[in-house]
Amino acid sequence: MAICHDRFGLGWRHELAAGILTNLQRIDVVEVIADDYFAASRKRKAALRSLAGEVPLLLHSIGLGMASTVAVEEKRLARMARLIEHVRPESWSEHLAFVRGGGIEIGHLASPPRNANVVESTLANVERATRITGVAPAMENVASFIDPPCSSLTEAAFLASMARSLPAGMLLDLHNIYTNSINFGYDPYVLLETFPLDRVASIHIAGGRWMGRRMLDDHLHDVPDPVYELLAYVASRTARPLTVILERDGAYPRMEDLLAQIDMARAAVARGRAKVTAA
Amino acid sequence: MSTPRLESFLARLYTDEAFLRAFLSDPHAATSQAALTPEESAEVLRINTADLEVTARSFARKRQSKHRPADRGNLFTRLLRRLRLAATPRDTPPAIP
Repeated sequence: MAICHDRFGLGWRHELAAGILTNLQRIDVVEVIADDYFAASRKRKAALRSLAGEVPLLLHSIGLGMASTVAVEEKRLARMARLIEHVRPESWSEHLAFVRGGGIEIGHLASPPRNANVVESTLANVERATRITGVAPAMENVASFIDPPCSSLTEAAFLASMARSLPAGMLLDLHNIYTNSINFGYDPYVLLETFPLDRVASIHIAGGRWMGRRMLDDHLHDVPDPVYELLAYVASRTARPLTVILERDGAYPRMEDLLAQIDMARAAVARGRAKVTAA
Repeated sequence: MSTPRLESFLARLYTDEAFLRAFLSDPHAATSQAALTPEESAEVLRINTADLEVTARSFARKRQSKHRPADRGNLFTRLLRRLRLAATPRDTPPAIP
């Protein structure tokens, strides 16, 4: 479906359900964690499908481990395909991460080695996922504390290469870029200058916290100002309509505070758009 | 290069506390037993150990914090039903369960 205007939404979480459903006039789109529904009852899946009828719904997968030199197991992709078939989301996404190795589940998103081999194997996994689910996923950049071994590409080169090759483009997580720019000492604006922003399918914003000299992307804190500034910068450099999702995974504030952060994202995009108009 | 062996090695470093301690105390010994290529071994030996420890701790916390309340969907279903009922004329049955 072609999106023709900027949209702003929120990650669907059980704890936020009441607030989201009573404020749909201020929420353009919701993003649902697919993995939470793989083993859900028929009733819950039916409710999810109903939600997709109320508001544009995006499915976000976290457990496939697509940025791996190992092919994603077909049973995992088939499970995703069944959920997509049932819910009929507007689109779906996964991460540029590996989540297991040698039968060991890491339990979170591990940053892959950034090299041509991983780019190639990730694209092969995306192609398989597209074939099995019938829909190409957008792929999200991840945050990391560790510079992955066997990385021959900079993060900017790796993400740009992936963005140009992915059929559904990138889910650009601006807090992850902000976090990595702190953890690895680069300028996030330089990364975004070389990033093909016409390949952005949607955007994540979130908050994190300092751990000594490092930044942790924990989704437990409010969106910091530098992330809004990055969002304004992205909006100033692309005419493409943006879909911006606020992620919050815990330490939930009042719904009004989350809606205020969505409004700040709207304002940031408007600032960026105004620069395009003025130029 | 990057291989399934390297991913397995990293997955173990990130999740196996004893293996991580062994690697930190004698990285050459831990790496030599992992069937990595010489290039991969050299790269693994260059990992910043402080970053590695923080990564492993962060992943451990993530694993511990994962929980799936069994009744998570019930509230969701109830809320959706309530929303639809509020917007539906009384003589029309709700469209969702």
